[in-house]
Amino acid sequence: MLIDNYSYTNRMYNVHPVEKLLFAFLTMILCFVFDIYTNIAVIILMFMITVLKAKIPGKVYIKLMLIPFSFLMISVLTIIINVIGDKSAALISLDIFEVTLGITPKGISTAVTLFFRTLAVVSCLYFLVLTTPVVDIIDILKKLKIPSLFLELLQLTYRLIFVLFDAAGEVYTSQNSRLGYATLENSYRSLGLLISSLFIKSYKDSQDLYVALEARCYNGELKVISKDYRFCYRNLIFIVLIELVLISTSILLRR
Amino acid sequence: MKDQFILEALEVTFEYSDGTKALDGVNMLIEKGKKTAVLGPNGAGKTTLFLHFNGILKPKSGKILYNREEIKYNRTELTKLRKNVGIVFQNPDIQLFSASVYQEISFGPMNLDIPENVVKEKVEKVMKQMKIIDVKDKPTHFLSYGQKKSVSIADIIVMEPEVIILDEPTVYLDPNHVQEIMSVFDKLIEEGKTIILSTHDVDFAYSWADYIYVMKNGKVVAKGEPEVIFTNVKELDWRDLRKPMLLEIYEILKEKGIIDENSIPKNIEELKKYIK
Repeated sequence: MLIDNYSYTNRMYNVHPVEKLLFAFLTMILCFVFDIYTNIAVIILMFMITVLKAKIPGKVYIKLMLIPFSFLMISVLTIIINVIGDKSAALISLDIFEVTLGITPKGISTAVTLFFRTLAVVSCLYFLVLTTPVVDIIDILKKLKIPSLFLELLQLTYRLIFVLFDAAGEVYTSQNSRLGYATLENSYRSLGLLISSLFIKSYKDSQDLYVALEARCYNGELKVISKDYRFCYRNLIFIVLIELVLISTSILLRR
Repeated sequence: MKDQFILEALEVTFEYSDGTKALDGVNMLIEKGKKTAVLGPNGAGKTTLFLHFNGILKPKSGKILYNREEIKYNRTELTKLRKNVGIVFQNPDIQLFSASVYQEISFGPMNLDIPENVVKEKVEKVMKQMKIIDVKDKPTHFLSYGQKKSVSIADIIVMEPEVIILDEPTVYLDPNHVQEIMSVFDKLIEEGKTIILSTHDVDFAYSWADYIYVMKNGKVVAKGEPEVIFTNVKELDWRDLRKPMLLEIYEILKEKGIIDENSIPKNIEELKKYIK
């Protein structure tokens, strides 16, 4: 919900979604092609653009970046510590029963590369979702000729998440005001009732929604007009320049 | 002209699949260009009847006429009917399917095979009319209840129907919003559109409507012009309906000899004029 709020209120809301998508994906590809220095550069770049240009609060951005952090630490650890056969290549090794666990320089460098690459790719995705509303992303997918059945499902799901979320909030408040969550036992029971009532409600709502659509001449396809965006050549040039700078410095640093 | 009925329900009976009789021989004639209010307790069959008027439900017996012609239930005829008879549903959260206000409003006209640039003009125009132009870039889930209601009305007006049916449009709205919506309705009436709405608010129905139907248990129990229905009709069960406040005050004032005007006041301004 937090990300969704920012996607509508950020300062890059009016930038053409294709530009933002292009920027995010081109940069992401570079993260895969080049090594650690490029990845660090991308992390810093995305932070600057998202926080300084799109005006997403830095605190929020860092908090969001910390979400994948914990998963990342676990996977990095499992890559660093390996079962090894040859003790001489290891920096530290430990014998547990018949198995030798150890840390090798190669393992460390793989882990570090992976660590920064993941963060870099995640920051590209964060840039995209924090600056581009879901509605716009669906629009682009439509232009990319993704099957409309899938997109309509996406569109309805996205809208109904909020309807259901509001309904859940109301039921929760009304249960809570009648001591529904006063004890642990009560809480389990109330939560069960909440979930089952939401299930019934959403089923009924879906039928009502169909009637409402039918009343407006629905014929099996959700035809709508999307917001008009104009390409901004300055932005496009900016994207190309940034990507070129990233590519050329990466190639130079590689030597 | 009395014979200008745009919508007619003749002896309409309808049963839901679980066997409950929702409509039981309903006769309702809607005059063109007039404001019709349908009163009645919850479960009286108002919504069910409305769904018949735009061909969503098909009567078990009896018939529905639009412009004096019986409704045909095939795809092309239904599309034509639904273009001309629009329903604004009670809960905007159910009616609004899109997360974008602009997309939401464009849905109806897009289904009528109108060229895109014309649809865009219509959407812009109706957003100005409903005063929602400043929320056009907002997602629907950011809107207040009143704004959602305005969008759901815009959804229908944009299709330029001849008849607009509203299911309890004033419920949950603040007085300000009610006022705004009413002025939109007035303009639509000036353009020659017909408006039907259901409500529980007798005071509102009394001063707003040209004609009132009262429904109960799937039947029309009373009908007539507001002044007539609330003063003369004997068969009306007052447990289901109370008298409009304005009328009560008028009757008290008359009884006490404070006013001796014989024509019944339609609104508070008229009553004021009587008291010298």
